[in-house]
Amino acid sequence: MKSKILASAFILLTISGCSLFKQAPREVQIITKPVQIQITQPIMPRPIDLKEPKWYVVSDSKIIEACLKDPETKKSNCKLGREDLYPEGYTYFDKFVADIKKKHGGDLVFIAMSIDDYELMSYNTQELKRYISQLGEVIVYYRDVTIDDEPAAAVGVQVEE
Amino acid sequence: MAAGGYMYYQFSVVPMQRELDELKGVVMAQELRNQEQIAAIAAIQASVEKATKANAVLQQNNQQYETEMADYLDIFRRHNISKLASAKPGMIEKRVNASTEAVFNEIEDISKRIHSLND
Repeated sequence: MKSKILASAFILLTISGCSLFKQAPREVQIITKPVQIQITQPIMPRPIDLKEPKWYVVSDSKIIEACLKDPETKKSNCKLGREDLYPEGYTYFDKFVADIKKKHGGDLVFIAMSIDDYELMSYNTQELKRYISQLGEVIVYYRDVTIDDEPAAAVGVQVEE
Repeated sequence: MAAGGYMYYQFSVVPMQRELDELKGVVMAQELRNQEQIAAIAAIQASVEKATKANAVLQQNNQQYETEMADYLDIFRRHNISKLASAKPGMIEKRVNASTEAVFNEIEDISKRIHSLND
């Protein structure tokens, strides 16, 4: 009798495939979520510090002396006459030569530039200014879209399974 | 009869029940994934919107810089600087030096603005 019970139990377990011991189905987890990319904002470069050169504009035009100032009103009044700083017929070129000689201990030495070249220099400066400005805007753009004050800054999609 | 019923239960009902449980789990997982994907799409859309706005500002500002440069250089087209400098060198000298100072100050201000972005 005992062996019959054991045999029945054995057969039962064999044919049921141990389904009596119920197991919960394995949980499937699929996660898709945006991932914030942490971008460390770099230290910005030191601001530009420019020194202004002095331009001399020189021609052979005669210097017209400034009008004398009225001592009462402190305003220029040409009726009172003109200053007498320069000799008669003194030109801007003469003044420039005198100034340069004074600056360089009697030597006449300078770097000259024609009007056309000055225009080129102006164009180049404006071009550099435009480039720096636009590059600055690009920096502002990248900073705005990557700064972590808003979650939408840099989003990647990661699927975890 | 009882054995038949038992066998039917074991071979038909139990597997179906197991499959049903698994399918329930799959449906739950799909729902979860669906919700998360909606959130991800919303985040991506917000990011794209933000980038589009920033790009529009960038384009607008860049256009302004191009216009400013063209306006500045137009001075040379509108005036005969050679003639003016020859006739009134003193006046042109003052303007040339003032303009140089102004443009250098503008460049310094631009660099200061970039430098102070992290402040």
